[in-house]
Order: sequence, then structure tokens, then C-alpha cells
Amino acid sequence: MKTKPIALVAAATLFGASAWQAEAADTFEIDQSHTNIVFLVNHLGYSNMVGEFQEFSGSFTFDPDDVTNNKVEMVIKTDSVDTDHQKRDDHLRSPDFFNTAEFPEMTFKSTAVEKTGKTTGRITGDLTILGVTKPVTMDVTFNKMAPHPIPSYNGVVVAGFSARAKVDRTEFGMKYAAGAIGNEMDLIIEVEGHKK
Amino acid sequence: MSNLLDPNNPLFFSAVVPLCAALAAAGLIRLLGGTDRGAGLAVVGAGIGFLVAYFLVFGAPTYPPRASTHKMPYLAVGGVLIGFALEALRPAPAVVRGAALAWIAVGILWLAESQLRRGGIVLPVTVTAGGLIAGWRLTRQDGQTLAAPLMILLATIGLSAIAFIATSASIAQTCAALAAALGGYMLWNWPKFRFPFGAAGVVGVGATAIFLGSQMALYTRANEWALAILLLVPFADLAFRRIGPGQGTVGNLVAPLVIGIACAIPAIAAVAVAHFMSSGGGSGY
Repeated sequence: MKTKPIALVAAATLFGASAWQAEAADTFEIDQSHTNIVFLVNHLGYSNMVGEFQEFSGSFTFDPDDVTNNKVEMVIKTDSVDTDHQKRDDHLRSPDFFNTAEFPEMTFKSTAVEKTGKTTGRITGDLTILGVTKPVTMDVTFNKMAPHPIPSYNGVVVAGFSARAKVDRTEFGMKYAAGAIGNEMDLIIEVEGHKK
Repeated sequence: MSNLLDPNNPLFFSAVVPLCAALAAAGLIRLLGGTDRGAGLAVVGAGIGFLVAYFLVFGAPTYPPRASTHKMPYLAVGGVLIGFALEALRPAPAVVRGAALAWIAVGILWLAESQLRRGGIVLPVTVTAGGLIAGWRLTRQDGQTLAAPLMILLATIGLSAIAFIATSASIAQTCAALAAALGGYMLWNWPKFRFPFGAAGVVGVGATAIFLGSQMALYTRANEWALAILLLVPFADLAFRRIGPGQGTVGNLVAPLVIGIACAIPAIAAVAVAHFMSSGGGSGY
């Protein structure tokens, strides 16, 4: 599928680029191979441990003309937590933390999107962990939207974003070692989506 | 050697606090309730001691409770209240047994909610059956001996070790706290037995131990064979009846030791199975 170059340039000016007239509110499927969901959590004050979820799926709707039309939905497989240490991963899968046998998935569903700058925005949504749903706000930066340059992708339009958020795990009832293991986790999300 | 009285030592909250809180609560209940009601209700002190430690470690309970870890404090509080009510009302023994088993079944099925929602039947039914067997054995014990509390004590120590091997440190710590709280109650009852372990003990303490074991079976990597072997602990009385330690002062001194050994054998076997069948580990890393 072909997309007008002028529209892509305009889209790069982000949420609200008025010249983007080609197709409003396009839906994109998250590209697992170019998306990372990373978290950092403090370990006893010594360092910030880095972890990642390897399996997830989801989609987002991106309307540069009207950010209120933008939506995000993600499902993350909790069992795919990976901190590059088998025993620690097993512990994170236990009821002490993500309780993956009881809650195989955690989800995020946006409820509101607002524009904060030329290429920045804020997404508020419902994050569900351990069956508990709480609102979470992510700061999002739009990076680029353009047809994929590699020919084998057949010109599929790709949109990329960077998102940052802070999540207090204890609000979701994940209270083991609260304080010693940081309550607040930094979320780093780098996401690419392919237009459906 | 680490200082047990140091609040930064995990054993402070999982051993010292529940033991001391249960010791104090049981004595206070006996003092306030008198020689009859007070003595009967004193075992509730073990449940209270456990809850004190639990809330100090995990803070206020999550509401509404969604995960099994969220549900555990509600089940522990519910057990203490139901046990207290049964002990205060003193209905017929059959009613007490029925109420205890019903509470155990309801609690396990509540813990298994997410399994049931996803269509899982076999594991919840198996775990419920195991819990009911353990509960039934506890209701058959003579509340005027240390048999039932010793069974629960050794079983929770076993659960704690198995949970640790299965990399679930919080459940290991919770089981240890329950064992320590029972220890606080038992200090009042040895060598002289003072406070009966009746309905309040079975529902307020025994059921909580069963719920912890059920949570492990449902949601952790705890070795299922080890948990099955642990189910033999409440059958230990069948062994010690054959080698009864006799009556009188010597009998009172020795009987708990004999019961304890009879309970410890399957508990140790269960932990050994969990250890040797694990892929290596324990919670520490």
C-alpha cells in the first residue's frame, strides 16, 4: 500500500499535524521484534535492576489530526519476565511478585490521550496487574512514521514511539519486600507498530 | 550469628514477633476470659500473633482482594473470627466439624478462583480434596493434647522449607510466622497442658496453614509430590497411638516429643523430596 509522502512528513510533526489528511486514525499492530518493554526497580538502594517482558501483543490507533482518537491496547505475558538471571526470574514469576500462574497476563488500555508538545504527548490508561486495575500515565514521544525503507517490508507504514512511566507496584498489591525492593518501577517502552 | 532481635533480620518478623505476640495474646485472652471460656479461646492468640506479624511484614491488606496473596489475610482474619465464634457458642461437635470443613472448602475455592475462571477443574478439585482431608484429620484430634498444634507446626515448617525451595520467599516467611505463632501458644501448654486446641484452633490456625499449602499447590513451583507427602502429617497420630508414651507427669513430658517425632518424619521426607527434585535453588540469589 502506498502513502502520500507529504502526509508522512506532516505526520512527523506529530499529533495534530493538520496536513495529515491521507487516512486519519490508522491502526497499527505492535511489532514484537522492534518493541521493548523494560522496567527498572531499585535493589536495596544499591542499583537499579533491569528487566524486560519478552512476550506481548497489542495495537494502537494513531490519528495525527485529533489525538483524542488515539488509543493503545497491550497484553503482556507475565511469564515472559526476563532479568537475565534464572533464579531471580523464577522468583519474579512466583506469588511474591507477578504471580504468573494466577495472572498470566497484565494489560494496559488507554483512556485518554493529550498533546503536550510538538512531538510529545501523555497517555493515561488502565493498567491491570495481579487483577488490580489502576490508572497510569505515560509520557510519550512520537519518533517517526514512514513507509519501511527495506524492500522486503513492501512499504508498510511504520510508526514509532518512546514512552516512559512510573508504576508503584504496591498499589497493585505487589507488596513483597516493599521498600527494600523499590516500590516504584520505571517503565521504558520503545515501540514500533505496523499499519494494518 | 545474626541478631534475632534486629528488625532488619527477616527472622525477627517471621519468628520473634509472631511467637511473642501469640504468647502475649493467648495469655491475655485466658486472663480476660476466665478459666473456662478464656482457656478455650486462648488458642485464638496464635491466630492473632500470626496476623500481627503478617500485617507488619505486608502492611494493610489489598482491597478488593484479587490475587491469592491479597486473599490470604482475609482468610486468616475470617478463620480467627469464625473460630472465636464457634468456641464462644460451643455448638454440637458435628456442627463444629461441618463448619470447619465448609470454611476450608470455601477458602480453597476462593483461592482457586482464577484457575476456575480459566476452566481449570482438576487442580482446584484435587487441592480442595487434599485440604479437606487435612482438615478432617485435624477435627478428629483430641483438643486436650498437643497433637493437632504439633501437626500444624511441623506441617507449616515443612511448607516454609518447600516454599523456599520453590523460590517463593514470601510464602516461606508467612508459613514460618504461622509456625512461630503456634510456638507461642504451645509455650503455654508444655509441660503442663492448659489451653484446649478446639474449634478456634482448627479454624483459626489449622485452616490458615491449609490455605497456605493450597496457594502453593495452585500457584507456585512447589513440588507436588512433596506437598502430597506433607498430607501424611495429620495422620501421624495413627503412629503415635501405637507407641503411646504413657500417662502421668512423664507421659505429659514425653508425649509431645513422641507426637512431634511422628509428625516430623513425613515433614522431613517432604522437604527432602522437594530439595532433591528441584532444579536447584532456593529463594536466595
